Amino acid sequence: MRARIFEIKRFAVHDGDGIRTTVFFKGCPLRCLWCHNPEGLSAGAQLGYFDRKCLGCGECAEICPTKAHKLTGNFHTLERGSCIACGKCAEVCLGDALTLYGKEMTSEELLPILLEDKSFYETSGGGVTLSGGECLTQADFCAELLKKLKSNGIHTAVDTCGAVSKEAFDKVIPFTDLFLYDLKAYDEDVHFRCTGMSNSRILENLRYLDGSGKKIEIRIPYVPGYNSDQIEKIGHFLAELNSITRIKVLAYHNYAGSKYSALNIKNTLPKVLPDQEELKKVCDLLKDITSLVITS
Amino acid sequence: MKYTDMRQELTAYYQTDGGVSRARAFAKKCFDRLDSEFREGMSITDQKLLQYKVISEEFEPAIFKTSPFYYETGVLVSVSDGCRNAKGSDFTHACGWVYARNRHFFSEFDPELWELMRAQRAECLYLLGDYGDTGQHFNFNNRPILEGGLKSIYERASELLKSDCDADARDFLRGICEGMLRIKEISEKFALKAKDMLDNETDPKYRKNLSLIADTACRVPWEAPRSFYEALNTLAFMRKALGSLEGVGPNTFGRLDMDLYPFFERDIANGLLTEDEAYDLICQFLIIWDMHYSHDMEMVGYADHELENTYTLGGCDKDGNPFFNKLTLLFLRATREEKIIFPKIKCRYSFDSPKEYLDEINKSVIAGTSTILYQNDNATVSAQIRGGRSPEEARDYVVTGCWGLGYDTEKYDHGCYLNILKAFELPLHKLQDKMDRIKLQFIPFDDAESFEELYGRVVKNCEILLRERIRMTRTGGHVWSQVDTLPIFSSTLKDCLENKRNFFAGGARKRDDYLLCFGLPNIVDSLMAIKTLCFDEKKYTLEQMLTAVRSNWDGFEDMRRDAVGCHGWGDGNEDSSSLANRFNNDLFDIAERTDGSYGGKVHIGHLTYTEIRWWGEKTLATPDGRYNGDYFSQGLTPSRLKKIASVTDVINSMMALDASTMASNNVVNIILPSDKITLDSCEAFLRAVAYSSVMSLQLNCVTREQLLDAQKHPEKYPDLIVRVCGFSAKFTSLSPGWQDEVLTRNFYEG
Repeated sequence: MRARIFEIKRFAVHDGDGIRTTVFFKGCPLRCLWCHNPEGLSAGAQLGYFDRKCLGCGECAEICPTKAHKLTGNFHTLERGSCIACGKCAEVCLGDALTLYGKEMTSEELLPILLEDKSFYETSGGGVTLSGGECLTQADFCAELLKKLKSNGIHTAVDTCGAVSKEAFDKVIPFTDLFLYDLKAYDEDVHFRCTGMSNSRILENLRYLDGSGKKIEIRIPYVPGYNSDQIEKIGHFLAELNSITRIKVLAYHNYAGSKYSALNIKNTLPKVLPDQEELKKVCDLLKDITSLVITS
Repeated sequence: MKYTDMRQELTAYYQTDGGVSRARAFAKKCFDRLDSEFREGMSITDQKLLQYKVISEEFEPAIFKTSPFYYETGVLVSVSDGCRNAKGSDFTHACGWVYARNRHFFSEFDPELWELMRAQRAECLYLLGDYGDTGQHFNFNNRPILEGGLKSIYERASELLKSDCDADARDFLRGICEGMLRIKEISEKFALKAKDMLDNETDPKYRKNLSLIADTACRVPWEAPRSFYEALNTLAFMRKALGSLEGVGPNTFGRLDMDLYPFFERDIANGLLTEDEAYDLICQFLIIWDMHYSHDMEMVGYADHELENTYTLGGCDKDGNPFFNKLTLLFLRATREEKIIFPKIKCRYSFDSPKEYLDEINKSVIAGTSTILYQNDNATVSAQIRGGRSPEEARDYVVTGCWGLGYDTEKYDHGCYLNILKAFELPLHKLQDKMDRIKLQFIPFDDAESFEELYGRVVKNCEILLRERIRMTRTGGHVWSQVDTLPIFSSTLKDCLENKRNFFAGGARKRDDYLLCFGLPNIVDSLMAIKTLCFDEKKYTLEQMLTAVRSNWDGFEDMRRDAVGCHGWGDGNEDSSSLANRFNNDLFDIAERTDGSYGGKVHIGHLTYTEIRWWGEKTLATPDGRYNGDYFSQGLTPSRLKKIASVTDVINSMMALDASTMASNNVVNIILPSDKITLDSCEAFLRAVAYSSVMSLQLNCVTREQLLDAQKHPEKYPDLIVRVCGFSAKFTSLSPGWQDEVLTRNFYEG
């Protein structure tokens, strides 16, 4: 079995406890306006081109089988229509201006990479996190990989937006120690507006997961002007669940802007960033509703 | 802002002219008098006693009414730690008179050898003082004075004088007795001066300080300190008194949280001190040293930018249990809140250090204020035990200077930097004229038929260099006993007093050589490139590669790109890690086979100071893709030419090395992204590092973007402090060259 992976991030410190390695899977059913991993949206392989890094060396034009890269003098252009995302250009790019997002890998190929930092997991209480995109769109593969990780004694976490089938959860629950579950909005219309999809399945799946007894950490992206009025409602909803261990409020940031240009897709990132005071108020609001651990 | 008046008074004293005019005038006055009172035939001890006498009689105490501490003799340039040559200036301190008078013995002993040592030094083979010694980096042991005062040393020396003694022993013990009395005189002069100042002072705040000094200085440190305040003052006072009289730079206050805790605990228990008052004293103590120098002074050259004051916190006790207490936290808090850069703090830690301790250290570092050196006890102690120390002694080390390891059985923390990369570069580039000049014939690599043969020659060349370095000290080191003597300093070293022998005469328990190798990452990367491209893949012949390197890669850019692309040290690759381990073990074996300069052992480690630039600039291209003059890697830090995927690769590589082989310590630089590191993740990282062979960790939490922005808008980053080479500095105060050096290091995204 193979999965399409767009990044393996070692020394990940925000994707669960301790020092972790996070595997990012391609493909996501949501289209969050603030998405900071736009390279994970499409399920297929994509070529990212960061024009500011281009040295104009022409190595890409030389190796490209479809002549998608052209060099006029030192000026490089990419004809995306011709690109088949084979990634050969990224391998020879001297300035790291080209990146292939989406490499097919088997769990046998992934496992040794994920075990490299085992000593870090052990000393820090960390492990491996599957993320994306939405990793559970490739649930069978996830289950296979998670099972192998568990048999190697690795703590496992799945970072999900919840917009997948219940069966997908059933496949991974036995091999997952912690779920990182994203909640963007409680009101369906707000959720629809911000992500392009209803949240009814997301809330339903969270209730279902809650019943499984697995540890769940809720992650709420806080995006001023988009979901500011949803925090209180999310808090009341969560207060009724049993397996939530922590609620993390994630301050929206706009670092991903260059990736939108590199992929040549429309940048939908909101302009307004939250300030620390605002974030503290949101956390305090949640603390008034629930006794769960709230962090930002 | 608190302590404003104190900062102003100290700034006016220390930062006006850096105290150079004052120290220069004082040195001239003393030298004139000393020269006139010198008599031919005077023994070395009598010369030293004359030096003590003249300095203690001539100096004028400087008392700051805003501070309760008394210590400043005005004898030294502000940024100097007490060594003979006034740092950053062109004259010798008054305390360097004996040395200056007698140093001709070095060249007279063996003119040819002396010139050869100078030639080898000029060729950057090693950083070495006169036959292995310098006036800096002396690890002064304050503990006997904190325990019994100078009086106890005086009384013991007097008692021993009554026993059976040979002439040398009598000389030594006489020197100690007189030295102790001279320090007593110095402190009494402070008491008198404070009394004088009290007559004209009306402000109750200042009168309180002056009264305290007048009452205490007539007693302490001749008698043992009785309170936390007196103990702190003893450290400040002894540092300046020793530096002013002896001509050596004491560069550590010791394990402050351990050594001062009994005083703190007793005062608190007796209701004589509150925690707030202790904190206030600690702040004032630290501010004294921090004001010796301006944080905004531009860093350009060698050692011109730092103060060699250091202290050690945390670690473990003699039984190996994690050690930290209330004082540890107070020192760290004071450093953070008062934005102290000097004294330098060395925080010992291990994988079982309490979270509270690690968090307190990490708060500043995460905030972009990297003023702390992390010292990994797990790796450090195991190396010391293998190096021959008892477990109890090994656990009681201090980190001195930049990253040397110090014990109260030894004179100073380390030997010298040994540039093993030179033993690689000279034969590689066939620099025969230079090899003739330094009289070392390194084996060339050109006709090596296999990688093993080439590797063997590289190791052999390192052995030639190491043995030559030891030969220098073994042959000429004994001349030191004619040049200088250190009665006061030696009196606090374990065993000197009881053996009735000065340190230079072999009185101390241990005298090993500590060699700090310089260049392992570049050599390993070069060997990996040669092995991969010339022997495994056979993409190029060895001859082609050597030709490319000798031409500084000019016309061989493709080959250079291939060389840079090979696996190298720190990238987590099994082959490169195992080659590095093999090479390090071979260096260790060479050291083990070599008799030390003074009959002790020879130890190796991997450390580098600012020579990463200065020596790098004087070193030609290497097969790892370095161009002529490029910077070196610092200690065991992976080369900046290598693209390393994750910081975990670096630590995984470090796990492949045998920590116990590196008793001279090692250092690794790591830069983590400030926007991603939290207290929890930093703690987790440090605990993982503790399992590796990293000993000194220079950690910066900053992004390249922040540094680039700080270059453009320095006014926005007044508190951005980076670890440079064993010391910290405001990034905006670094010269453009040093800013570039930091900017071109590896920044790990995670």
